[in-house]
Amino acid sequence: MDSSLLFGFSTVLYFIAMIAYIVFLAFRKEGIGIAATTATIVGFASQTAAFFMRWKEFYDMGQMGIMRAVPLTNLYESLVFFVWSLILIYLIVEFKFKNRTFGAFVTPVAGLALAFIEMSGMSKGLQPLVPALQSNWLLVHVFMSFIAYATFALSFSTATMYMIATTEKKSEGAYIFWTLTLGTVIVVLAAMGLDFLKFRVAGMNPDAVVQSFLFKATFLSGSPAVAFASFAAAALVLFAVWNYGGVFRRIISAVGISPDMLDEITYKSIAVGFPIFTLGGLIFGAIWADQAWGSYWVWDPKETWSLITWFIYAFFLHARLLRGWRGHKIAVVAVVGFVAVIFTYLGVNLLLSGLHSYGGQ
Amino acid sequence: LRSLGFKPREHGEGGSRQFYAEKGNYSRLGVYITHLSMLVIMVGAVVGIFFGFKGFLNIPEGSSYSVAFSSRKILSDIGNRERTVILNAILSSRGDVAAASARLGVEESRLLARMRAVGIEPLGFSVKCEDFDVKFYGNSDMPKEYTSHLVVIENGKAVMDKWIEVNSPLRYKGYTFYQSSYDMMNDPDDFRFIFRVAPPEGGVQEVSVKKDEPFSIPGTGIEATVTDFSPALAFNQEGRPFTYENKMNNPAARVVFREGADQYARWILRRQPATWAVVEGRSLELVDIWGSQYTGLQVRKDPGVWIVYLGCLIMSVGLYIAFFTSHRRVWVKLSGSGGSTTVMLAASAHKNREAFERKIDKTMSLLREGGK
Repeated sequence: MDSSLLFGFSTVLYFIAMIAYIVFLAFRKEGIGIAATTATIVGFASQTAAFFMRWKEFYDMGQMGIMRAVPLTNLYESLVFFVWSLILIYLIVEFKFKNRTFGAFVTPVAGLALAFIEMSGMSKGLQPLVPALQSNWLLVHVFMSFIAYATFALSFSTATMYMIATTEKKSEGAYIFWTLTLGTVIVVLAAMGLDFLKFRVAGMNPDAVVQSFLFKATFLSGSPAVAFASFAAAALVLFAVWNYGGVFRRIISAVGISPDMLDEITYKSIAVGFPIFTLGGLIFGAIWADQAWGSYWVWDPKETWSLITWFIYAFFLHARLLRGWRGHKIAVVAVVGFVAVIFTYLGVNLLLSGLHSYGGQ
Repeated sequence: LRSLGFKPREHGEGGSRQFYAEKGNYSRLGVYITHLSMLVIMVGAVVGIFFGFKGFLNIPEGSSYSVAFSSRKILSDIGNRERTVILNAILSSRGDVAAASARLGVEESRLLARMRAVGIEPLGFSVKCEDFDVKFYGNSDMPKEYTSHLVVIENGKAVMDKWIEVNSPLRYKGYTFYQSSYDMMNDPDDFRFIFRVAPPEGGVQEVSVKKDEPFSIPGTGIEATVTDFSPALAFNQEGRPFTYENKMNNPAARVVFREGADQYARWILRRQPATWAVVEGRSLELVDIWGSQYTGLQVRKDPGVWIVYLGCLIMSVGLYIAFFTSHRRVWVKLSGSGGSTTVMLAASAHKNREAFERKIDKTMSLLREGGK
């Protein structure tokens, strides 16, 4: 048995959990809820085991210390670990708030992310560490950054749900904001899916697809007709989400999630994630940079974007604690913060080159 | 109250008694500590900018330098010329600033001032690169380690000796030397080919020769000459050798062996033991092409870094206090009339109220049960 088998097993379990959570939402049967939680926990345990097995496989490949052979060194490993952190944070929330309804929103993200990783066929191989990564800081720095990313992801979903649940009119600013956000997420995912379909058929390496061919199948296509059609389709999707957005609100109000609780979770997850991000991401990152690059701060794109993210969440906390911002205003800040997180995590690695570009290699 | 970890204070007032207790009052300070820490970090950064040095130093294998070059200064043509003059004087005085100032006919203090002005930092000691090496994973071209053997020489004595790596710099007298780059040197006539000859009876010998310099293999009558070399040798489909990279990824030397009238040649690849020539039972291993590379060091002096770290520490503490503790207060009033006692309880928490409320409710229900 090897780690990939266990990863596959947890992917299947997350999908089962996703279906169970959705059925639970619809019928409110306690038994189904317990089944959903059990599937998530077992999936999580199996993913944890897989993580440690991969760690061991990495270590056995040799020539690195045990603390340095942590499998968090390329895009594939980091995406898988992001899913792991997300499920961990979700389970904590489920037990703290004794509420299962979020499962129906979180497990699909986890399941889809893992399925996307499988489908895209990105390289899963173990790659030995480049000299710059050979440090004991790797473990704490990456681990804490990802835990923070996961809490920010949670705050993003609850902030979006909050806006969905509390907007009635289509002309409201917050309504337009969340429909645009959701629509853009759908459009970008669909466009990336098309990229992969097109260039996978052409037999290209998926890592190369992300780096050089992103959106070349749609928006940046060589043929003006295709590009135009893509933009038209994107506009259509945005319009559809805007027009039928009320459906989402009805779902949320039907399952009985109170907006106040969403607001509270948004704040709490940021209040937990922010100190972890500060310590693990920025401070430990700075100490490591001081060891490896000769300066604690070198304005590498990842550092700069982390700082931007940090400022946005610092603004969130100040606006809420000092100015008493609540409701839509604060939810918008949480959403913007997470967009910065996504860019810090993926955008910088895929689009900009810098000292942190390990994920692309 | 004690069960919650509070230390109550008592007031008596007529027929009633009052207790007041608080916990975590320092929690309100967390915010100020966090903001103070940012000031400390900024002070550290400013100290670094004004009193620090940031530069680089490329040292060829076997050479030493007693100065480093600033990466901040951008110079005019005149400045560049002055820099070259000063640098030549220092290099020909073997890094001795006093000797260099005598050579240039200026006072030492004046020379030091001009050096700083053109971005040459006198270190006060010299750094010698004994060797530079890249280690690879197995037979691949994936680098595992960039490493330089540095020796610090002060007043003619070697005071420090270290193999530095990317995550393990050398620190001496406030300066830190980081492994940051490397490249090939230009003049192959200076390269030294180091071979290790291992006779079957034991007793390994090392031979160091230059290109086209004949040498005899110890213990045999065979003469060998290095006629060609490659930093990264590979063979194409027809078996022809070619160089695939201008870095020392797979160094190789072409050695011509002569024994009387017999003559034959072969490539010896450092990383492939199968190619090490065997002459009369003696294996000839290529150990290094020494002097062929320089190590690129980043040099930094930053007296502010500890202030920055102190700021980071304060920030961690401040954030912990600000987000994970809260100021909680409890007031209890006991007033008795006749045989019954009325218990009034008030509580406040400035953060995470819900959790504190649950705790207080639990205590109250315990009290009620006890009362019955």
